[in-house]
Amino acid sequence: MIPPRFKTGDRVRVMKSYPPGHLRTPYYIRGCEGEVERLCGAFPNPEELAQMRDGLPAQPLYRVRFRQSEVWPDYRGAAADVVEIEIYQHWLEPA
Amino acid sequence: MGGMAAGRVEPTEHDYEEWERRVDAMAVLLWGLKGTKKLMTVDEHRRAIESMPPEAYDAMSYYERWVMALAQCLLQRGVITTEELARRMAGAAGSRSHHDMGGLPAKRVKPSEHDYADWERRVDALAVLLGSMKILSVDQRRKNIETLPPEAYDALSYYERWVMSLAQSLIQRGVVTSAEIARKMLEVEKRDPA
Repeated sequence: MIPPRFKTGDRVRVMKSYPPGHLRTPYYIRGCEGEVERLCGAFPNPEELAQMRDGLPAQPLYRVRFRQSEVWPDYRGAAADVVEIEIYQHWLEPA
Repeated sequence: MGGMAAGRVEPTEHDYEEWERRVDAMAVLLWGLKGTKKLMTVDEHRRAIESMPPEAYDAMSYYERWVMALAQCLLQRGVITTEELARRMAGAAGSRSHHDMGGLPAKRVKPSEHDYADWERRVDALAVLLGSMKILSVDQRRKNIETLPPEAYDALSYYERWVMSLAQSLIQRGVVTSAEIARKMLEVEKRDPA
């Protein structure tokens, strides 16, 4: 297992990249900044599992919280609204 | 596209760009020179070109398609990982994959209860069994759903996409061959409908 780089409360930015392959990081969240809500554990990398390899060492997976108003420029809901997305560590950088 | 309606072909002479020569050279090297390691086959490369989404296929030039297919093949072979490629490509513009529709305009979702058809339960069971036999992974199934041509993706129902993906996965794993499926499909077609 790859050691976790982040802890709850850390500010992180999602890598803004669009490679080919099986990606679990939604298109709309790439490049956005959020806060680690929790570490969910570590799991084999799905990008590698999709190619029938073992995906090891396991990648830490985080639940990351984003402000809706920062994700969508025309967001009209409450300012406190958030979206939480589970993102693998290799897609995150310290913000 | 053989046999389809098309405009007149204008034959012209043209020179290759430097990057095009480089892409060609790289592909030839990966296909394997005599006595070197073969990192991909010509047909693997062709298959990757042919399975590009139609829109991307039409928008790209000949060698642009080669580049995309090389990346795809190197990922499949594990020569490079998606993670490595993602890091190197960070900051570059990119397009949304057809299935990745979060944030796109859409109609209101109407939640409703529904029962599964018998064949849908069977497809689900088959996928779970193939998974427990380690013949298929959930992510391979997802990958093959995500790479359906957009038109097919939109036209098929949820479990119809699963069926397409299962067939693709079984071919990739060498459990069945394209020729075997072709033969069986012909047999089914000839079956007495009664």
